[in-house]
Amino acid sequence: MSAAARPLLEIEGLRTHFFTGAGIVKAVDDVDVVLERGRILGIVGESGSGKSMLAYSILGLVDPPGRIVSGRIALEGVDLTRLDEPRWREIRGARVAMIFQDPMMTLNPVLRIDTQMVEAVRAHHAVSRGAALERAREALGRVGIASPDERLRNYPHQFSGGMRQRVAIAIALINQPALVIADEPTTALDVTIQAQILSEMQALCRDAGTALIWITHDLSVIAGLADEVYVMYAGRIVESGPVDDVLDNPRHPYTRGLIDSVPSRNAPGRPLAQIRGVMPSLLALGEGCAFRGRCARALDACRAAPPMAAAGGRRLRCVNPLP
Amino acid sequence: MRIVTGEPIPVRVRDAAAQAPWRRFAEEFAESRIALFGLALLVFLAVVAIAAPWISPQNPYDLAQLDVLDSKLAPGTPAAAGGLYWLGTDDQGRDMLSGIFYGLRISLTVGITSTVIALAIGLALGMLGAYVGGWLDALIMRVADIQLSFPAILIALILLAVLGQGTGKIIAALVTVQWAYYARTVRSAALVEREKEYIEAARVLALPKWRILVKHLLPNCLPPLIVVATVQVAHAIALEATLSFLGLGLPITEPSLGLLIANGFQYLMSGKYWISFYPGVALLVTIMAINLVADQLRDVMNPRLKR
Repeated sequence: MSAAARPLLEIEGLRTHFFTGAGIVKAVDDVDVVLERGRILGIVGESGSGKSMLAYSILGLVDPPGRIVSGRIALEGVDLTRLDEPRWREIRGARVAMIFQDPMMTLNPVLRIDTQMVEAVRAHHAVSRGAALERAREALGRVGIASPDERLRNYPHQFSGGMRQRVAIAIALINQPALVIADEPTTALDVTIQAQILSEMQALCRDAGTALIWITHDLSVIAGLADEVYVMYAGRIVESGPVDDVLDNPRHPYTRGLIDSVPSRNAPGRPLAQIRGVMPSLLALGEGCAFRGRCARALDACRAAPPMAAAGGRRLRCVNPLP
Repeated sequence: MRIVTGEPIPVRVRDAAAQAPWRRFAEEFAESRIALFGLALLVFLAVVAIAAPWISPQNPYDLAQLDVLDSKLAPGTPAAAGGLYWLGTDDQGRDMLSGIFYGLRISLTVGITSTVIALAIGLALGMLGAYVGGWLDALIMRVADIQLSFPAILIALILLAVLGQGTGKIIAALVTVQWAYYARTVRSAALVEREKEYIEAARVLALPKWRILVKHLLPNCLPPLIVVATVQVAHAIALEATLSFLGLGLPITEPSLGLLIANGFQYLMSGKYWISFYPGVALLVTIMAINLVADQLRDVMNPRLKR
């Protein structure tokens, strides 16, 4: 297969485990992901489902006691799990970048914006300070920051939350990466800003041909943004497929539960549909479907690990799926 | 309802320089008058200490200028060589005012030098421990713990008993006593800052490790350190005075404030109070000025005390 025909990102059988004193935490367990160039992929799951650890695994930033136990992460044909640190440095921040959840925290409070942007450029390109500054100015302009010349000389605390997230996005995009991973970047923002950032992010990625992985617990964000959605539960992908398919006709009971618990889908005056129970401890998962304790459709067969089954563009890990 | 559109609300735009961290910091610091007073006092004392050779009526180190016949004179007595002993003389005929000026110079030098060296050592070890972790971190911190479990004065006494007297030696003793405070403070600050997202963001950008350490981590660990350092200068000065008072600090030919106090101690009961009293006042005022500044620094730099 030629390099061009290959998908941008291929993850096969990825397992990232944490070896803690209390036992092994399988934060990411047998995850497969395929992402084509320029596409937007949404990863949905509740807190602790392993979606952030999946992102850190892709970036090679899993800190001890965690490590990638097995599996392959191929970005542009290069297996990231086998890279040494110097090679990583060429890829991280240049080919793959990340945007974090809290824009109040991702910018260094004691450094001016220009310093932070220039060092981001110069960490990967041997250019002069002036040239790097020019790039920074363009990048700020692209994300819709007015008078970038003045703003470059500001400190992070002089920006509002939404503006800071724009700066963070500008920094992530400044080296024209092939892939950007966004870890709940709009959760800390209010809804109007959230909508703006979402549509801008979508447009920026489409224009530059950048692929985007958007991690969130909010299905309504994914609905308008992503091409494809992966639903994650307790470290495993339970359902994946084209976003309209999955949201219109969820087949995994967990996906169904997530969709039903979106407030706008509930009738006024009726109690909100909830998924009963809480996610089990990742330490005590054992074999079998991790969702079976909360699932209304659980069968005896759920005690055995459900295999991943592919059906018409959809992949599903359930022995008793919804019709 | 009608929406009234009128003049746009004028937004006060402050220029970038006015918002720079140090500028904001200076404004907040100036909010307390007592701290400003402390700072002014400290600057005054520093100027006196630096200018001591030029403003002192007498060079107290030059034995040729001392007249034993002028010993133990009360404040305000005219000197045989002309002029006035404003604060009296000690048992060797040394002008107390000159002695205090020179003593202040030595006390401040010893206090500040030892603090700066201890700060540098503590900072390096603390950052190293926090960044590397593991057995090295454990080793550094256990040594610091052991060190801090002994009273500072005891360690300094033992060291000086072994090393002998001298300015360099007392600085070495003070550094040994102090570094652990900084190592601990910077380590705890670095451990907190290290987990913040901007460090993670810097790692995602694949910035060089040393750059993350020096340009991103270090400046964010400084605020608590500056506060500790200011308080520690006062501690170092007091500790040096104590050691000198006990006769283990500086040689009698180069008296610091503590040594001047010790010098007059034996005459305190015989009514010749000024030999100990005025150096004592000078020491008190110096330490108070530093503490006033330190208190305000702590208030300004501690986000938890922000109004």
